[in-house]
Amino acid sequence: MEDVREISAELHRLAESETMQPLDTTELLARGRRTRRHRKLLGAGGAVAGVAVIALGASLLPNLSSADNQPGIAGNPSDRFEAVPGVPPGEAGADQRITMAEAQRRCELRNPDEKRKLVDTKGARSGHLALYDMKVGDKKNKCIVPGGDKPSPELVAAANKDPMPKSIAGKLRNCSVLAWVDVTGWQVVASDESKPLGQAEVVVISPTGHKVMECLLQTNVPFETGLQGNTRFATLTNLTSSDPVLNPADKSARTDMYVGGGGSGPCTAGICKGWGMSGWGRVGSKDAVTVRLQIANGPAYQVPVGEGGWFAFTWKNSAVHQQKTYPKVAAYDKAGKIVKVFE
Amino acid sequence: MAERDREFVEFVEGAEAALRRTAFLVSGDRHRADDIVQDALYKLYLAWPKVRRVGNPFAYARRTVVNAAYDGKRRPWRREVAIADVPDRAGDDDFAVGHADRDEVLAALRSLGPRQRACVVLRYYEDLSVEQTADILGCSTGTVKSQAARGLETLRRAIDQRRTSRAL
Repeated sequence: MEDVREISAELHRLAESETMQPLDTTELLARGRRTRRHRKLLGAGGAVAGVAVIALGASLLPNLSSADNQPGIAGNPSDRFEAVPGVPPGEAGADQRITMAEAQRRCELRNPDEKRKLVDTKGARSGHLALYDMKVGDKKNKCIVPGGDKPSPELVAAANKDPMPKSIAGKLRNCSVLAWVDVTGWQVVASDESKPLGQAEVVVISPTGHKVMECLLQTNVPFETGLQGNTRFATLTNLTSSDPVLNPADKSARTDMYVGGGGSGPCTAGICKGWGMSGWGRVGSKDAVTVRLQIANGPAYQVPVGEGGWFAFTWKNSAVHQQKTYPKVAAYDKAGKIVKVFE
Repeated sequence: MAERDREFVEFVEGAEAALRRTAFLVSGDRHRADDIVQDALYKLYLAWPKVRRVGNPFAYARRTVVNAAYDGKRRPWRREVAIADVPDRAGDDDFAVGHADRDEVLAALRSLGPRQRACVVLRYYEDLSVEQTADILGCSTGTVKSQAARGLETLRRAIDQRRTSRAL
């Protein structure tokens, strides 16, 4: 009996030896809701069969887009993406931490004509940008290290033809083409678009809720046409100092994350007549409802904080400000009180 | 937030710590325990109206957690597969891992077979009866008794060993 008591006490000591951060119920709920929605859809068996017949008929008609305006994403994933040797498909192939040699191998699959080596950064991550070692005067090229879903030539052509689609589905198609990770089924938690700036930001969460992808689509890259942009992934269950986490020591399930970038111009004699900025992140505070950005006393721009605390913004305006002034970006609660200053 | 979701969140907030501790003891790994609990709660969410009607959602969640922690390693398709070399960069490792590795009792617990470990945790941590333990693990009461006794003996030896090494 004494043994049992002592073992019981030891087990309690072990179990309680570490403090735990609370689980993120928002992500848990989001995942559950998604599955319920899918089940409801599948539950409408007869209707699904009917829709399939209609869809088949529609696919045979040229230039007939689907009702929800999803350009270029019809068909099974296997029709739109093919496997990449040695890389797992889907979510598993995103944000892998790999060696430079493996990154080089994958980038050779993507850019077979490129003979230069990638800049050695002591490791790479799939779905992240890697730069080629360029000399002055070299032709520019870049490589988003491929995941495990190589887009079909048709999908690549569709993305190049429409680099900034209006629909979210179209944007996810283009993001998938950029990263070689099929994110067309991922959940969009934040998005924003600025036509004057020529940029769109999309933040999506993987089906398991373990990974997040930020995708920036651009039409404002000088001398470039077709699909332009960048992607970045983070594994939410394993955030490190190489992720955009504001406090790497904070291991809570909803730690603050932020990335923002932009520029001012045109500027003359220290005075600029406009600025633009894009960014994304997550607010740890559950009180946050909006994120606002502003430069000097110019107009402010506001975006909502969505489920899980995610937000995305992209904005251009013509506020006159001193060149040395930097924008302010902060999250606010319902009462308009600042809950987090990002910059 | 819908009523269903609100009730579920309230349940999760109250139960998750206990479930994670149990999952840790049965699986022997904190990260894996968190994954197991997330999955169990996700399954619970899908079955929430039914489970709530029947009553005792904690028992349902605990059963799911224990079974996942207990048999996950037996199924090869659930194992994580190393897909590439990790770059030469220091990771943000859990600082407690080193400490845990040095803990003789935890090491002894980890050395037990999965079923033995589950029996020990359910009997001596969760304080469940032999019958309740057998019901959760889907085995006979005799198996629970023998497995728990052997597990107890192993842990007993580990505690004695720690006492001896501290005395030296």
